[in-house]
Amino acid sequence: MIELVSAERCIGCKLCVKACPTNVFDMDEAAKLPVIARLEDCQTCFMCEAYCPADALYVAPQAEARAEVDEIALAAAGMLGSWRREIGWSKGTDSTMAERDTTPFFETFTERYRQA
Amino acid sequence: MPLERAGIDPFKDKFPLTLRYEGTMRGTGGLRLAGEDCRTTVAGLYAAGDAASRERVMGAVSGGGAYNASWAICSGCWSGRGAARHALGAGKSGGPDRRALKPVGRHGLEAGRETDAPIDTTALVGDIQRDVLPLNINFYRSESGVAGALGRLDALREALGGSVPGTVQGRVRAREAAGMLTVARWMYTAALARKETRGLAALTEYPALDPRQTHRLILSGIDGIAVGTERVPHAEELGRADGQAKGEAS
Repeated sequence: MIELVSAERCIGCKLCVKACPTNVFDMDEAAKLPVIARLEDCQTCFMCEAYCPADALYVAPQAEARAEVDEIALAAAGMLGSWRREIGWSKGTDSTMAERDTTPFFETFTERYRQA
Repeated sequence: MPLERAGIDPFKDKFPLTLRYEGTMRGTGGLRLAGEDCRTTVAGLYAAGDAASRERVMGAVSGGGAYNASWAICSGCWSGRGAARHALGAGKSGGPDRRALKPVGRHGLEAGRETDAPIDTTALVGDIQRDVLPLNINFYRSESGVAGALGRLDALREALGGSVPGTVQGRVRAREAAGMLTVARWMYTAALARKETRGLAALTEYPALDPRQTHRLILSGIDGIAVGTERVPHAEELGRADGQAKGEAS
């Protein structure tokens, strides 16, 4: 579930509020920060993290239970923004996950089968 | 990625698994399509994917990734095109937005309110799930188990007569709960109407396929649910083949 909104990193763009398919966030307009208003609705889909241009969000892999997270430790371990980098959505990433994926499409199998 | 993030190597480490399902039979039941553009019998309502009935593609089984992905893509395109055509007609005289429309929905809406006490959607969803999620009711189906669940679900309808919260989330929740309850009641009504085991439809009391029930079940209604049948191609041939097989065996 979503466990961290970094007030330090957040630029207040509201992309996470819009991207979340289950409407977990509310925008605190005064503080210009998204608030985790409905944690119980989080489906651990990592969508907000993928969209966050400031690497300010962290979704813990535990979908059922709360996980304690520490922003400094996560940042030090390179975890903030890691999913976005992985799928190639960050600026400056050399490749996308789709490009690195070497799983052959079924055409490849069909072609191989035809030649055999 | 979640495994990696949790520090688990799925090829070496043990990790807990759980069964996660929503309790319906998806492709084997859904909104009945009434045309090749995925229209339903409600004007302007188009259905695709899991929300649409897939029996014309898959029969009584649910299909697998390939069929289901194909159905998702195809029905999504067809229904999208159908809905777009419908919407394009909206500006024309006699088009959808020129009609004098009025809301008729009641379930989980203010229009269906009978008491001032608010609908406790969290409790209601929990009550519905208690009769839909247990494998002993919904997967290992028996006539008595399903009938008991259906009776309890029918009794939950009263809870929808409460007032609907004013917030956007509250209104969505109430309508979702009403939808869950209705789908659950349709599902178990259909399960009891098929006294045989065919594809994904199974009842322990009727473990065999009955060729005379080679038909589709068509349900309609919310307060009272009517069950009808629809013929399928070649059903008679199946019945004849079964009769011959039995004749030869005796």
